[in-house]
Amino acid sequence: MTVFELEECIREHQTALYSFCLHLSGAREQADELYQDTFLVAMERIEQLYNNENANPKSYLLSVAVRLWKNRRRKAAWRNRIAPEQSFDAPGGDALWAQAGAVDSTETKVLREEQLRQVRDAVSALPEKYRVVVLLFYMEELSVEELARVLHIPAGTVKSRLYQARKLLKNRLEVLLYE
Amino acid sequence: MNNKLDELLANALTPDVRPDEALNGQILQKAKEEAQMRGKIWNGRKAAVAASIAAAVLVLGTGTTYAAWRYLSPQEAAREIHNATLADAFKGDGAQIINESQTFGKYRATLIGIVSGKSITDFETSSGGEVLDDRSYWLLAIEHADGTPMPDTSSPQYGEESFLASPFIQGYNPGQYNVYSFSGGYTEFVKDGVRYRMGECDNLEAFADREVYLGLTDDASLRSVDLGYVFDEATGKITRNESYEGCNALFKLPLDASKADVKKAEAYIQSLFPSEKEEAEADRKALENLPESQRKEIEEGKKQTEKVSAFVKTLTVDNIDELCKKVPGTENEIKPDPDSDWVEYRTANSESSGGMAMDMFKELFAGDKPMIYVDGYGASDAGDKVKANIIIMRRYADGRITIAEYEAEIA
Repeated sequence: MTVFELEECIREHQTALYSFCLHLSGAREQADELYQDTFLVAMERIEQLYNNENANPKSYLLSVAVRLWKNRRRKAAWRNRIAPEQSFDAPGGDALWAQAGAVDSTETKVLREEQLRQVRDAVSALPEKYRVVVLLFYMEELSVEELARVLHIPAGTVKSRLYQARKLLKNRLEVLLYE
Repeated sequence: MNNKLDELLANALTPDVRPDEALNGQILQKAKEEAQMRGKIWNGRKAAVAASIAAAVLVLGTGTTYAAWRYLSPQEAAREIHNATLADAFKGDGAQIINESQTFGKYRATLIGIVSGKSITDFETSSGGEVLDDRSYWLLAIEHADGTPMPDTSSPQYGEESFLASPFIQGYNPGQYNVYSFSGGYTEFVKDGVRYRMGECDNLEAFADREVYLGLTDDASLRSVDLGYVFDEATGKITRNESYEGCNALFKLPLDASKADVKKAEAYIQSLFPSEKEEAEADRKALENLPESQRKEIEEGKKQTEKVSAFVKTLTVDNIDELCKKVPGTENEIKPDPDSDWVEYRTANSESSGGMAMDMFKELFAGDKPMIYVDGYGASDAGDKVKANIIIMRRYADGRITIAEYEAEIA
């Protein structure tokens, strides 16, 4: 893949991939790192994916991001055994949403932002395996089959995780749902 | 309420955050540096990572050992790509010169040599910020079987022929465990009508107690691995699919058995994909960090799912209408497109959808007797009972195949 082709690939998938990295990691610094490494790791394969009309580069990028994230989490877990530290920003915190969080004078928009924040917070609070599935399904709009391929798990497991995640979210967002 | 939850999630999770332009610039800069490091040699046509293995000569049934003068030696090829350290490694004791050729379809593939070790390259390879310095490198020569020259890298025709060269390991499905999962890559050049590919991946020597292979297909997609090779789940052995139309060469690499390291090999495989056990452990830890009320909720959910899972196993076409109730407005006929190799299906209310390969669908619904297939299920509270929601694909006596949601309450 030439640098020009990589640039085109970044333009095409930057928002989808970066949003996913940000929601997955919960902090901008980690999202930046994950996003960058995903493109660099995926570079070679992307070329072949673009040459294959049946392939889906976005799914591949997302699968690389998930794999890198899991590897990182494992390494972090080892490090924390030696020197425990808290380095995560609070998911859904002001810093995280500074760009997306609109400051608007109208009451409706403020209420809407608050509603979106509550939903994002509820998603951030999900156990990771449910969170990943929810992000890939609702944010990246992958089908159950695509999700199964990206996560290397059976479609039945995807459905079951989605079901459990929705169940948890329903309880946490009860007030919004009955508004 | 489901629709409202979907709507809330879709709105809140719209991918709307773009990275800083500086970050994209940083990625492009790193890519350029890597391309300059390797790709300049090939006028930027290919910039890749490389790899290999220490193996000995083994001639398969379809293989031929060619005279070494026919091709560049691994040292010469390494020098062509300006990698003096790798050239030295190919001169060392651990290197193997093989020169075995196999001809399938339009191509003749020759595995010339392999070498493995730590820090045996001038070009550092990294993955996810981690330097990969313990690698295997192999050299393959690819030619047209009819003797016409392979197009040069500067030719517009160069990109029209693509290949996938990948190591495979006995016991591991090649569709999942291949050059991509082994952090592999390659550098290519064409000389005198022969396309040389210097490939690399993580060091494979730890697997020397089992069969290790190198495959070459004339299609760069992983689909060619699924179609070109057969994985025997009982023995773990990998063989060529004899009915594959095209090139699917498979070289067997007899690695130095003294380098086998079962523990290291297992740890490596586990590092590629988290095992069920690791996932279960991660889940357990995640649960520990949750407030008790949520933890109980998830554990209760698991129990309910297990109960429904056991119930679903008892369902047959004869008892389904007795044990479950079809949810009105969900049944939808599945009408596969005969021209497609994929079958899409969804319930009439679109709450559940899916798809499967046509071959699988035909296999599943072979014959003409009424039958059911459980496509998925979920569990939820129903007072002191558990409510099961089950997605059923069903063939009726008149031949219609439908998908519908069924409900049942389980004590």
